[in-house]
Amino acid sequence: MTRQYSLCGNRWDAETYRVGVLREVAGRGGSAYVHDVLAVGDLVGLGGPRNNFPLVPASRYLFVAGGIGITPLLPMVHQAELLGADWTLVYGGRTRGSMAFLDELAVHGERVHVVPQDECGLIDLPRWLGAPDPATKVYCCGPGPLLDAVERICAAWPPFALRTERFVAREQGAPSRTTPFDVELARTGGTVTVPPDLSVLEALGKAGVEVLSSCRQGLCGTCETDVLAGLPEHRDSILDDAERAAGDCMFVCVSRSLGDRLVLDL
Amino acid sequence: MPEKALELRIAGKATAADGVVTLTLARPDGGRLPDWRRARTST
Repeated sequence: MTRQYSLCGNRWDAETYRVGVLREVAGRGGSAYVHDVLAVGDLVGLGGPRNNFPLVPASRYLFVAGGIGITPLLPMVHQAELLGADWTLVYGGRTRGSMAFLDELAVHGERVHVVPQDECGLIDLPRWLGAPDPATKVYCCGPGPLLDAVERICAAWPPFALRTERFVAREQGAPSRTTPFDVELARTGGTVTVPPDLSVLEALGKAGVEVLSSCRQGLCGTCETDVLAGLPEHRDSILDDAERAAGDCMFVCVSRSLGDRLVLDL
Repeated sequence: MPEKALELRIAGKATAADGVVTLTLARPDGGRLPDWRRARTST
């Protein structure tokens, strides 16, 4: 089994990685395995690391974390501190006891706002995001409803002010095509037809073209493939609007084609 | 592109909160790990 976890240690420590893993009661068994089976001394395979959620330069950052969504934001907080940026973290969770890394975050004093739901209710998003500020970048990671609410409020912000990372795929409507399309393989030659009931990844696999993949939900970025021609229909939860518009890469586990033909760098 | 899988040892496991554990991962030989990769794109 392969799972994606956010690195939440010190990125300048070249010898160790740290990940934080929430037990997902309704999960597929990955987190239960980490909690119940994995022990010190065990060996695990690593693919990556990769970064779908980069910290871009800004003079001010607002980090909004919900629950285990704190993990990818933790190194960003450290980096923002290192860079001397003006930053604020608003961190919500069910209860204090369920919120990881509060001790590490305490050293940052008033920059960190801890919002346990049982004490304070939900994060007051209009308070933090109500006034768009062109100098601030907003980073948010957490449950889908939090991300959706932050996206709604940030619609009033300048383009690209908000960056999010999702642990659960964004809801997608039906694909726009109901007919097959062809995928041309630029490097290896050959063409694979993708019927409506298969993903590009599955159709490639059936044709013996292996693309490394992991989540199969358009979340992790493992199956990123360069698009050389044609118009992809993006159905992932990773790319932002500008990256979608560029149309030069796609995640073949979920994304499809708008036209009759796509040419991929495979 | 396919990446070469690296085998890592669990060097530490700790409880970080109710239902949350942290794992510390290191190479069995203690060597340097791949750098955190630079972003694919940025705006």
